[in-house]
Amino acid sequence: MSAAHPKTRASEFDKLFSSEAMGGLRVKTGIVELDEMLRGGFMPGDAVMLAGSAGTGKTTLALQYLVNGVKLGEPGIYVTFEELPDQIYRDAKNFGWDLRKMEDEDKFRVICTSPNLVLESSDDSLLEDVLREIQPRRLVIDSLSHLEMFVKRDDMRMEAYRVIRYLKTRGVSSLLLWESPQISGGSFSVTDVGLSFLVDCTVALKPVEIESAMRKALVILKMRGSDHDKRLREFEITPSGIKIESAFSNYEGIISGSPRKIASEKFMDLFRGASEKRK
Amino acid sequence: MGSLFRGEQTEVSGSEILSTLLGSEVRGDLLVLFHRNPGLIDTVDGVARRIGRTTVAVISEVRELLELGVLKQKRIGASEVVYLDRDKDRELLESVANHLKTLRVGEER
Amino acid sequence: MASRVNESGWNGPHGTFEPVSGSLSPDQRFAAENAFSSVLASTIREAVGDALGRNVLEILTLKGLLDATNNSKEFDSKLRSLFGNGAAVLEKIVVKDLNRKLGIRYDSEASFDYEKSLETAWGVCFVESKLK
Repeated sequence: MSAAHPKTRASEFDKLFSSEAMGGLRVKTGIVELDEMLRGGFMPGDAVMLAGSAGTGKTTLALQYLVNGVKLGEPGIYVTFEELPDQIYRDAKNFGWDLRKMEDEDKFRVICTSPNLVLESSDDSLLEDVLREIQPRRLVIDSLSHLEMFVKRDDMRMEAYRVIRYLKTRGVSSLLLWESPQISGGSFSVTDVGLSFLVDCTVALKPVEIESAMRKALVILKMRGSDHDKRLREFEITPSGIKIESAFSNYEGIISGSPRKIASEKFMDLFRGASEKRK
Repeated sequence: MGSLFRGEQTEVSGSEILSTLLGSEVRGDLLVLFHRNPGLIDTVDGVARRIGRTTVAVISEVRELLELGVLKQKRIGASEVVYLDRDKDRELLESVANHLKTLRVGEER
Repeated sequence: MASRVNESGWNGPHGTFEPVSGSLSPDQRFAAENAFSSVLASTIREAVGDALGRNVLEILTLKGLLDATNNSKEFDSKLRSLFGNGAAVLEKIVVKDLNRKLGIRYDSEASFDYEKSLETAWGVCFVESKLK
């Protein structure tokens, strides 16, 4: 199993690919290992899709992205269709993030509305006031998949494109959450309406069963205009947010839903087993 | 649905603000909903659903809060939506707080 | 608060409750009373704060209103002296929140009595304590 990048290497990456080093060209998530995987962070103004089935940590990662942005001086907006802000504030508090305080300081807003209002709104209505008010650099939509309830399948791409285009013209780096259809196992598909080509970057979260335990995997499936780490990395949701661990380099078939140890690891297991028997 | 409120807002005392804010149970529910969820933007139907009431029960109460200025409205496509005016809300509650400072607990109003 | 529970039992939305005095030890009863008082006090603070803002909550705390949360009659009287008819609206917000925490259904059609509502909540708390 390859070792996780030590913190010293992380800080080297940080300097090499920091927003400052590249003339402010990266939007850091603030999660060190993820920023390494992204070679410094997301590209500014990019529409990033964060896809995963229910319970994989999309909301946590999205909140962490915004909270870290506020710490970096980049105001953010969280648009929710499902959870009331009250619930978001409480969930964030559990990780030590005081969203209400950030709102009082005009660095953050949680907006709760109905998907149909987003669909009805022309380019300058629903979010315009709040965009003008706090001038955000980052915005999360939780989740784009809610729009599916209000549009015909064939129109979903057009509506998603409209939302993405609106955010890009406002200069906002957006994180669009998408609830993927599969819970575990089976073939992995990010969206079943073909939206991947509309976004600039796709990050997928997937629960995996390995040795009878549920673990979580993160992978960057696509990133326009930049190299990125292609490996599947394990991650945990800790009391202080998402923490990315090492790559699943002992296993293959994780994305397909049938993880199995790679041949060399199986051989090592047999070898260790035989050694134990001889002792 | 036409515009919910077309009037102008005039100066009101802390006591009058309090009477309006706590004028009914539904208005209390609306206050709590928007204070707990200050970023809520929704139609009156949507707001009614969120507090477990019918639109009929809620619409006149929403009008009162629009007249007071704690809620604002705007048109989104074909829908009229309401949302909290955070600055006005802060201002009104400040007036309420100042009014309450002048009162003594236990004395009849 | 403990004195409000009828020692020979009482009727509530969850049915008729047996006398509780013999079913909890003095220590358990004391612990249950403290737990309920704590939940009630925090619910009142949240409800008032969420309805009228943190500044108003601070002022009411300074005026000693929140010292009376354990005595529903006294609390009601103090609330009415400050808010008049608005006191009932605040009390309903408190009861709704308390009921939600304790899993009690709130009936907005039924006539409202703050003291009785708290007795009901208190009774549910007692039952929960017995089950623990």
